[in-house]
Amino acid sequence: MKEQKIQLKTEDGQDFDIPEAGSLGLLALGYVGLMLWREKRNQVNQEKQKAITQNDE
Amino acid sequence: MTNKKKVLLIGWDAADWKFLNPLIAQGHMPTLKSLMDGGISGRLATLDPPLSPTLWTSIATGKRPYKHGIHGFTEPDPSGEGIRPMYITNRKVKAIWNIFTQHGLKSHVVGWWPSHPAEPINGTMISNLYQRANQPIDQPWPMLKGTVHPAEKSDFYAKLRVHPHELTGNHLAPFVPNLEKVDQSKDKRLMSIAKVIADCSTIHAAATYILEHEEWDFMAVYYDAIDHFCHGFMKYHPPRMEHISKRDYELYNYVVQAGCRYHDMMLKRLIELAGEDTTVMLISDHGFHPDHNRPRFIPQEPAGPAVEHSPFGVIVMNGENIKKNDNIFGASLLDITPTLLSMYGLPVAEDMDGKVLLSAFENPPEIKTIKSWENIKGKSGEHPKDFKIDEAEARAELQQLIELGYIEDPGENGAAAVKNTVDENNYNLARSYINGNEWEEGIKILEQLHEENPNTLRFAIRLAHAYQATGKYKKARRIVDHIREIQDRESPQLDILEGTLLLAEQRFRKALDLFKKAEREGGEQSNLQLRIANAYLQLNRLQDAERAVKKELDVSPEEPAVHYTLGMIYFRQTEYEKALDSFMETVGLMYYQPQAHYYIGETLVALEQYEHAIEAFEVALKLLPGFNSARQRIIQIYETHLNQPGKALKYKVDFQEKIRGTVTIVSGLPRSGTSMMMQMLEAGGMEIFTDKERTADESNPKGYYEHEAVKALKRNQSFMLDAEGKVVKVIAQLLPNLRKDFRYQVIFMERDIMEVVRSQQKMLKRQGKRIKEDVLPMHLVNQFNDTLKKVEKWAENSPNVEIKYISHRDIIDAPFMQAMIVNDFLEGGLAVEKMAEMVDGSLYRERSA
Repeated sequence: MKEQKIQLKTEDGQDFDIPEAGSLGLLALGYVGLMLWREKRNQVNQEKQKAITQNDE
Repeated sequence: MTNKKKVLLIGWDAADWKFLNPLIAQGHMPTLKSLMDGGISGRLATLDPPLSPTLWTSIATGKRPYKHGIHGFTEPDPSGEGIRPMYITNRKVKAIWNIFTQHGLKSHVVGWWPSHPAEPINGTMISNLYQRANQPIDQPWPMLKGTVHPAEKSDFYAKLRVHPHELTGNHLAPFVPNLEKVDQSKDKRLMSIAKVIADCSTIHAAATYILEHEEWDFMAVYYDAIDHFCHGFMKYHPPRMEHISKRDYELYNYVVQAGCRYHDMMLKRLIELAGEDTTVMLISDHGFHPDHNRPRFIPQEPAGPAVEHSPFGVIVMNGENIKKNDNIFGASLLDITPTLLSMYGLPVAEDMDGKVLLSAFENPPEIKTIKSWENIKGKSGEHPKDFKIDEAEARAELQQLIELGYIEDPGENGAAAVKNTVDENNYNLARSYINGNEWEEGIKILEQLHEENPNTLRFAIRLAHAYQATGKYKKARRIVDHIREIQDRESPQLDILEGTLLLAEQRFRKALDLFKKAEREGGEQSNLQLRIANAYLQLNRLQDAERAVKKELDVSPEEPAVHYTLGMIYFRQTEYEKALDSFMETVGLMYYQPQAHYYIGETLVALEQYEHAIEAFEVALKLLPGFNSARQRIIQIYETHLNQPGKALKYKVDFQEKIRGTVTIVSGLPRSGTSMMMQMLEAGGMEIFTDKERTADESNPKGYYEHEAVKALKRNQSFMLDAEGKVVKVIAQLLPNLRKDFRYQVIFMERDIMEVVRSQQKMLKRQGKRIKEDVLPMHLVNQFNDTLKKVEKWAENSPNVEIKYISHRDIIDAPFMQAMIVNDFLEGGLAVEKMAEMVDGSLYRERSA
């Protein structure tokens, strides 16, 4: 399955920044909202991990 | 297929207008509101028992549970060691998606209850055992084999599952705004909310993926979360219930509301993805009491929480050809499948119990019918009838079900759990038969359950009710006495049960006394005022009845029986306009009530609206094809009021066709020689329908040949089913109450009225009653003459009745001749000589001059 990059918009057309902690609104979007949230969460976790590794070094 | 349609069927278990409407009014459910504004909405009547697996299967098949075979939450596991969730393989009939599969329509089904193992339909099916997580998030989360069809997509859908531990405060705060105050080491309620959110988000993720990525003609998706939020948290819903602490109330009073708002958000997404060309149908299987009807205690028995359910779910339809901003009345969950079939241009099966919801459409679809879909060959995507999994696999599956938290580990109590499950499912089957008016089938099962479990109160109570409803009062009385024995204390509930029995036995005053006692000792209880109203109604105390039923109406405004009783009170008061309103309200709440439709007809006759009356009688007939009283009224209207005897003819033919069999009736005024005729017929070789309760005495030295159930003929005619082919003694006054679906050969005993009156006086005197023998009670003479005229008219107007008048005096004078006449009337075969020998002229003691 080919995944596409999706940018969520708010109702007044602004870009919506996906919160790391998720939201009911994202879950209510179903598959897409779940995937975008998980992706964001993974990204943040990877960045955190990277920062920890760099600090350790 | 000529007219390609797309229908999205969304199930919201337990959704109820009583808590949705206030949220809509406050602007909290904008999507639902817009769906309603652009379509139709109304209540959806449920079935009994109100258990979700049985109900959702009725929704998907259009059939009652005793036809579709799903009777509970669990079933014995094939390994015999325990129980497991109810599997779809118990379903005996095709679901809507099987019929669609046969017609090449692509259907997707997500989470339907029950749908495991997923059926190999033309489309995707994700079973109801898909979403549950029971282990910490770092532990393996396997998925049962058979959860997804097609199986090759299992791994993909497994990844769409939301684990409750994934959720954060962001997800939970809308449900519990002060969640930081919850001590989670002691209070597990926050976790239970997370589980419900995760489960329904899983279903939603799968459904939205399918809508976005798959071709489809029909999609059904089932969300059980509202039911779970309600069972867990409706007790904290405003207004605060007395027994709920202020702290708990403040913590959890948003949960149900937030659950509904989350569903509104999910609904918005489903509708967007489905597209504008889709008809959306949103339904619930039953409602949930959010108000004063919330029970304080849940019975400690299987399926006990169902007492929190209310009898009306919701229905909303929106789409092309659906009326806009309109209401729908009288819808039942049995109607969903017939309506869907007609929307796709497919025939509705005659063996389905529902109807097409024609009033939902701007231009109602043409209804085609078929006898049954069950015999239509073709690939339907059902599991084969002999579908089985081997014992080892079953055992492994059972273990996995335990690990996933779908069932508890039965441990060493597996055998007991299996027995309980079998009993419980049989109990549900009995209730479903009774709910479908198949009383005798229901009673057979209840009798067996009661015999095997004599101390289980709910089996005994249900059996007592069933006996009482079918006129088996002696048996009902025995059960009530038994319950009093096993109950170690006085109980208002038992008084109500016994009062209901007395009501059925026509002992109205005693019934009223017991109901009043229950009211004094137990306070207001469900349906007690309704019973009091019915007792008053029978005692012809119409104003008292009206007062009582209006009290009940205040607390149960959605109870069809309350509106029906109010209608009967107004009808008796000849307030026909008001009666009509009440009867219309009754069928608006619960359409499947032939008796209420019949009384709409009677009221319209009283209002001289004959053509509308015929329509109402027609509906009663459609719902109950054997309802010959309705047929008889149509015949009378066509012949007497509309002067269209040609139209009456068809109904006369139908009348004869609906006749079950023949019952011989011996009738007459009391003391007119009916017992003598019964003796003659018995001697002639006929079987007598008697319970031998009333024994011989000086007034009738050879016995009375009566049956107790006959006395309650006005209220209950079901005993007649046991009387087919036999002779029944029925006094003249009760003849018009005989059910209309039998052919009757009536031998009516004629005797000089003065002789009858004198004989009755003597009999009363022998019983020790004070009688003035020298005064002839002329009012009785007039009454008897009146009764005889009524009987004559009844026989004339009843195509199923043949009547033969036999003179009492002629029998005494010429018994052989009269026996021959009777034999002739009953189409021969009787031992005429023996009949004649039975006549004992010496008992003819009141001969007129």
